[in-house]
Amino acid sequence: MKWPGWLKASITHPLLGLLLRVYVGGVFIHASMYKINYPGEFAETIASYQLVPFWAVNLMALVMPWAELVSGILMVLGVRTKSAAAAIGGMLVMFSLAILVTLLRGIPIGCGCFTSAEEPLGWGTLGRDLMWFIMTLQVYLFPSALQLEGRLLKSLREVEA
Amino acid sequence: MAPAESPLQEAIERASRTQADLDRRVFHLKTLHDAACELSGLTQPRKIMETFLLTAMGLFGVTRGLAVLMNVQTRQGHLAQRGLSGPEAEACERNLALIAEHYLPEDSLPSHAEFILPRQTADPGLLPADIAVILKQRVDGNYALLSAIGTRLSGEPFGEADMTALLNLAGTMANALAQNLFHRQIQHLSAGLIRQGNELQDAQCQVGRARETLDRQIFHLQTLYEFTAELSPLVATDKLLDAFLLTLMGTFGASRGCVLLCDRQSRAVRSASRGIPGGREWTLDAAEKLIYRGFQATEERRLAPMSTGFILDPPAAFPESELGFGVHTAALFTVDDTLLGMLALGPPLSQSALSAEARELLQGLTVTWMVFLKNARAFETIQALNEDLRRTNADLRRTIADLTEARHQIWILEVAKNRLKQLIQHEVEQAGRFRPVDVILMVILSTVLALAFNYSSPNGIPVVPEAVFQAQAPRVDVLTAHQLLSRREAVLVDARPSELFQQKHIAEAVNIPAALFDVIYPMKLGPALKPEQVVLIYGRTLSKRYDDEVAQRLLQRHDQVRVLEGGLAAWVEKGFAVSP
Repeated sequence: MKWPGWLKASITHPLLGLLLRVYVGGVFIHASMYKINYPGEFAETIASYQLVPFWAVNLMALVMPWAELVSGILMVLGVRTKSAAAAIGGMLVMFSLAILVTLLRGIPIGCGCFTSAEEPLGWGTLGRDLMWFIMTLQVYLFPSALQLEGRLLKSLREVEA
Repeated sequence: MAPAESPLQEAIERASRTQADLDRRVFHLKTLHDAACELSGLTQPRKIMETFLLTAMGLFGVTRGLAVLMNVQTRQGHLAQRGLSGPEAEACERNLALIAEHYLPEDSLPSHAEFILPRQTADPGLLPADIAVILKQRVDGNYALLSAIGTRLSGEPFGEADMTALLNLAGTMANALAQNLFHRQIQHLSAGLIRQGNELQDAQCQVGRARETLDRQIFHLQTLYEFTAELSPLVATDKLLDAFLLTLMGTFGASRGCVLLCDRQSRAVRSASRGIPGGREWTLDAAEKLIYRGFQATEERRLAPMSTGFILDPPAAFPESELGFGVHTAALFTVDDTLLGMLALGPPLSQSALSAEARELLQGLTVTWMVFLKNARAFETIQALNEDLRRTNADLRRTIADLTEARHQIWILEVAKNRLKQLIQHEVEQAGRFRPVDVILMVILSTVLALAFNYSSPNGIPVVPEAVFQAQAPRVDVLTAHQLLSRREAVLVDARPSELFQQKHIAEAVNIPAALFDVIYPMKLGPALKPEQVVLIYGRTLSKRYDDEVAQRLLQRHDQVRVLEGGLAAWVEKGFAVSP
């Protein structure tokens, strides 16, 4: 299948990459804020999914929000963009699988993606996460504009020269 | 002879002949005596031989004769002749060596005169032809005498008496010659002795003069040696000046003296003085003027390096008012082009002018001192150079240390630069790539930040649930629990969240979620619960042990608390009622 040139150019445009990068990274930064401040509630959310052993729930509730924050910041700034995109993509895959399994098991719980008091988990939630995953995939695959790391490396090249 | 002659006449004749013979002998003896007297007074061998010839010719009536006195060792002789012609005399003179070889062989010389006969057969023609008698004899150990007498005018042959007289006369001549030669030898020896005596006296005089010269030279050498030994350990110019002046004053008996040394290179004057009240400080200009005036008064206006020149009239050149003492002897010296000076000595104890030897000694001492002075200056120069070299070495060492430090720093910077370059290159190469290590680092960073934040946050939670470390509440199996519920002796509590409770729960169970225990327990269970009633609790998932959590809380309020073994799944498995 051959993509039309304008479509390919649009999809691979650095400004689109910048937009998606800032959006997805900002979503993760925003999502991490409440969880970081209230790890107990997030632990309850994780436990409600019934996928994590009970002894690892608290640890996951502590680490995951910070992982979201760190990867989100790196993605927004454009530092280690691919690695950050890979981490965010991995988390989105994990979230999507957890949602899918939970939906299939019919467990009536809330998403807990941003706060503990949210609408019940649904297929829309899964679609949203998949949409974020596709955005993250674009960031991972194509270069984006205004990457801090790129500018820093450019300065380092000038210093080296 | 007539027979008439008488015996008397014969006797008279014999007496007459005897008388004649005696007269002739007397004549011979008298002649011999006169000759001996005459010969004894002669001092020249040639005169003796000529006198012999004259006497013999007169005695025997002969017109010619010759005599040869020959040294048998050297074959040199003297010829005396009478009556020979000029060519004959020259031939004899020329053939003296041959005559001596023929007639006077050394091994056959008699101690007394003897004739050589027969003359005709033995003569090889070396002597004149009309020689009648030839005699030979040894005069002494070195000389032999050959005498030759010609024929008589009368033609008579030589008789026995004549021969005897001739032998005696020859012997007398030989004695006279021997005596004469002996006297001549004695005179020669005496003259030799006198000459040797004179030579000995001359030699003694020369030895005396040589001894005096030697003593003087020894004194000079001793003085120079002591002076050299005194100067040897000195390396400072001022000390050399003092030692030099003291030596001069001691050697020449002067009670006052001074030495000036001008260094034109460093424009410095050094001086030493003795016996002068109130020493004077010399400036370079004053010292140079003084020395210049001294040069005007020397024989040679210029001095070669390492030489000395005496000032002709020291009192006129250097007034007493200038140096502070009456100058008796003064000299200038030049070490090199930049170093020159002057020495001045007061009158010696003897008040006499310096002799040539003393001036020579003074020059020797000055030259020796100049050598040491030059060495001292070279030593000072070497010391200055060494000091300069030491400073330069210290500077070099500091510079080398600085350079080493700088090199080390440069090396460190180079290493840092290379590492930074490698890091930059690595980062440039890694930029835009996915690296698992970055993800791991993000996880580690997140974990560290999470733990640190959780530790300091008031909403912090334990990393591992507390239930893991808490003692479990008592358990009860499903059948027992069912019996207790059937007898109304127990109350059943569902500890799960309300969503799960509403999804499915055991009939007659009361939902008290663990998260809302403090709110719901007083409302739903607390007032109605009797102390004897058993509280049965169930509800746990893979991720949460709600039953244990609620049991722990209930145990703080009630004694009879049990956890249902197997939970809802075991209850359903036994076929007991669930709702909805």
